[in-house]
Amino acid sequence: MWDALLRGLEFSSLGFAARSWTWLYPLANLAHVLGATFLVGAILVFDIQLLRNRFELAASISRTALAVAATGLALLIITGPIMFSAEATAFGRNPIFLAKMVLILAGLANLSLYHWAKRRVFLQPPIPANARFHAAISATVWILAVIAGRSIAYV
Amino acid sequence: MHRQLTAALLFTLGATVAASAHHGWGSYDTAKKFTIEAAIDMIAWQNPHAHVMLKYENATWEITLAPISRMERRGLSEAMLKTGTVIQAEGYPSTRHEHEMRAERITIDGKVYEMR
Repeated sequence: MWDALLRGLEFSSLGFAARSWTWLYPLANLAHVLGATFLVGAILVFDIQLLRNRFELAASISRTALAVAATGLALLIITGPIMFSAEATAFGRNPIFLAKMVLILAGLANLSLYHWAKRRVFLQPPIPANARFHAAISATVWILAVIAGRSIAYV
Repeated sequence: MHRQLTAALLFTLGATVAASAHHGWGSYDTAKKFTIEAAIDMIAWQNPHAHVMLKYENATWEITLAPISRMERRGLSEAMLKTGTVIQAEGYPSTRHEHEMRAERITIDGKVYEMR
């Protein structure tokens, strides 16, 4: 089932284009790196303010940080499948790729749990005690996701 | 607070060092450089790396070349690597896959093309 899905993707027109167009893969790669710097850079700036207990500062930069992070996320989501489809059957069996997906899911789960429980955190002080806990998890998981992403090519 | 930040940074550094062990051409044995001269059995001119299949010592070897944009910049084209064309591929055997070589350079018609 998983193998059939991977093969289907690899032999799709997207996979074909990713392999045969000279510049599609390199450009997707470039935009993916750019997206990761936007996403993780913005997340870190925000998380560090939480870790330092600067909650008002965190609230005041949150709009800008969110815009940069969302732009990065969009770039990542668009370009990831292009590169994946070029070698889907290899990526789908690559342990570091699978680890990266787990890290991304962990990062999103951490984010969702925090927001679900503390929806109005920046509008209604006091700040929840677990804000710094989630910030530490967030910083760690997203940095590791980048490390895993770059390591896929070397295992 | 500072301790948490320091711990996070140290953890990141440790993970980076562990990950960098795979960097570069790490999964190829550069101590075992060898050359295959053979006619191309099959060519896959594609990203992220092109591949050619060459016969060597009663086996078919998969030769991993460079990204196609890099090879084009250096004067190679798909038309120059047609099936049946004799090439020399100089490179290193994979430590993970039997009969796979990562080419350092290839020679066609006496002209050398670097892959790195």
